[in-house]
Amino acid sequence: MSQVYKRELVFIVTGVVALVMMLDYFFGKNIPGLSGSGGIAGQLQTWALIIQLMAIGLGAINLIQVHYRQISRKTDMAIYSIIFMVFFAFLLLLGLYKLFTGVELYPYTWVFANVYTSLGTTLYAITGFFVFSAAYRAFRARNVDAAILLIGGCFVLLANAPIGEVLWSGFPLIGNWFNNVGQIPGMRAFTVVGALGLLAYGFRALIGKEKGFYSEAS
Amino acid sequence: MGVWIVLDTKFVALLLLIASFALFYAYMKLAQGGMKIKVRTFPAVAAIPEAIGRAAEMGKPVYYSTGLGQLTLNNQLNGPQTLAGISILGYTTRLCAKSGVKITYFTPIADSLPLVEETMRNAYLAEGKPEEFDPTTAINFQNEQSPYLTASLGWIQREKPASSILLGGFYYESVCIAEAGNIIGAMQIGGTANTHQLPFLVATCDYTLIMEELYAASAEISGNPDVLGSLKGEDLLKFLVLALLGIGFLLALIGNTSLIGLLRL
Amino acid sequence: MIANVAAYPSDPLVILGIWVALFLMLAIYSYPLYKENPVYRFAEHIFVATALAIGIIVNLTSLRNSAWTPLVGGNYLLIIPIILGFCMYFLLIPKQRWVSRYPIAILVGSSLGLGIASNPLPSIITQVISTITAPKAGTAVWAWFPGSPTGDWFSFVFVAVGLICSMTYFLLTYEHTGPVKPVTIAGRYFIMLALGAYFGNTVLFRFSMLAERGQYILRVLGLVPY
Repeated sequence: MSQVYKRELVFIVTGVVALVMMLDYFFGKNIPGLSGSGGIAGQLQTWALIIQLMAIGLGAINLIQVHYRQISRKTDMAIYSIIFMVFFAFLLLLGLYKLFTGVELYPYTWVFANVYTSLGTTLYAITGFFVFSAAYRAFRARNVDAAILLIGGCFVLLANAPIGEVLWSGFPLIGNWFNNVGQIPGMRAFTVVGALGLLAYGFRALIGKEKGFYSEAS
Repeated sequence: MGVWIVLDTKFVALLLLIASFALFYAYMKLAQGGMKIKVRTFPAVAAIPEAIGRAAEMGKPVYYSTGLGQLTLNNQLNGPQTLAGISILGYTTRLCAKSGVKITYFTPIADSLPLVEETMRNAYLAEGKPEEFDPTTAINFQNEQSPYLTASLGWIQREKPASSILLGGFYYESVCIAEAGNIIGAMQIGGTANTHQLPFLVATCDYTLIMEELYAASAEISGNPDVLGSLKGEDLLKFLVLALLGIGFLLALIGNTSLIGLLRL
Repeated sequence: MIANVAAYPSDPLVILGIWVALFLMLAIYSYPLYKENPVYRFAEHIFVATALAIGIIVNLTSLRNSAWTPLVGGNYLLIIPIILGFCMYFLLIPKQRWVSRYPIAILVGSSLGLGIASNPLPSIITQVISTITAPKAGTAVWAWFPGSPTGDWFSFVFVAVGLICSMTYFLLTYEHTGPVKPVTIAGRYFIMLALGAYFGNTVLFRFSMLAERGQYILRVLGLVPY
């Protein structure tokens, strides 16, 4: 009995929240006090957002612990962990100053533009390198699956690239057919079976049969 | 107070939802009652023990991640995928604890940390080695997608994990992390229900869980008959959709649109 | 004359900024072009620290706007999620870790509830309707042959048959043997075609982003107008 609040009650809370969300989706407009920003469903969404925002502290504690460990054990990575700690503390102080005074100091703006934003774009573009090597890897495999992948990929690629039409006028025609028709059966199958999988998984999770959510292993 | 039920396509969706839950429940009960359920083997799931065994032989760690997941469990498309990934993380961590293999889980999802830590801690506990669990080496958080990718890439080449397991709601990081694993020769198991990342995981991983297989994998791992019963229910739903497709297709060929009208209400 | 091209910056701090950005970019790209190295490691740690500090400030700002200000303004109900948010931190107290399950319950309940409810309509019913809707609904196939846009009918049959085969491939409780086998093999081919087409679409887009970074290098070096 004393353990009820550690497991069963958690599932009841989860189930009630899930039920409210489902009712909101299907009958939202027709049940007073359920939908809209002031309704129960809207309130729960706001609650979830607040919890989500507050969780970042847990992540920060984890990351600081990871780097503190490196420093205290004087590992090869300790110097980089010191760089992390110093830079993090410096920027956090600048940010807190902005938060409490409303004044954004230039170093904060400078780091935001030249480090944070710039590295974000850089990392997004790094996929260019990896997509090419992944494509090479996929196309190198010598079996029927890889051959079909290759045919679909090449025709679509050459339909999108200006050089495709220059090489052969049929590339855009066939490539566009792959894009508009050829890929639809597979993509639709993904969508349908993904949804069915989610329904079954959600059902198992809500009734406490999934290990990933405070269930049997707990 | 207005009318609660409006007969439209949404109502058909509600009926489908109720029918699905009834089917899952019925088959779970039938399985509990002794009905034998045989689930098709997922090569990706069967490969997990092999991946951990490889790491044990090589004395190398295992990399595990559930992907960006839109940075929160509270996301209708990615939250369930992250949860499914964490389910399999529990199983993987247990295998690692058993064989004395170090596992490091990378995530940018701060609000999943309590769930992850408890899942991993329980796995060590189940193997009778709770003292070996250290969250500062087992869990590695980075705020946001690109820093998570940068840290993952760096760690992979520094630690050279024997195996890399990517199961969850992935975005553009999938191809980068998987390729980084390929460069160091790691055995790779991937899986996602995000269609836009599937081509990359299929191309770069040795084994892949495609769409619903990600959700079904934890059920297969559990081996519990009642949990497997829900998979049978899922297959029956698939037959229902296949029947709708087949009948609708034949009707369309003769110019009959009554099934479409029924589905649209 | 080149119009709408910004002049190369003259402010020393701005110039320093674009060179620092260039250095960090090359540090990151040293990974795929060479391998992990001390310069990459430096950029990695700087980036992780920056993102964490900025993330905390952004979240605190959002919390002030969405929780604190409405709370002191009279919306006292918001004390509940704030308390639940703090409950997460019970993870750090060994005997009380279970408390952190409650905020998770709200998050999981919300995502599962919405996910389960909102999926059947667009992901199942709409897909079925789209698949069984003929090129000209209400007209039989023989009324269209010959001289009709047979391409549309071919596409219709291709999609419907392809979807049926692809879905059969995903059956979970049947092994891919016996009479099901050829259907699942065909399904796998349809799936591979979809993956290939998606791959082809993405490669060019990713490369164009990388090319944009290349242009940035040229702009900073002054080789092309800034």
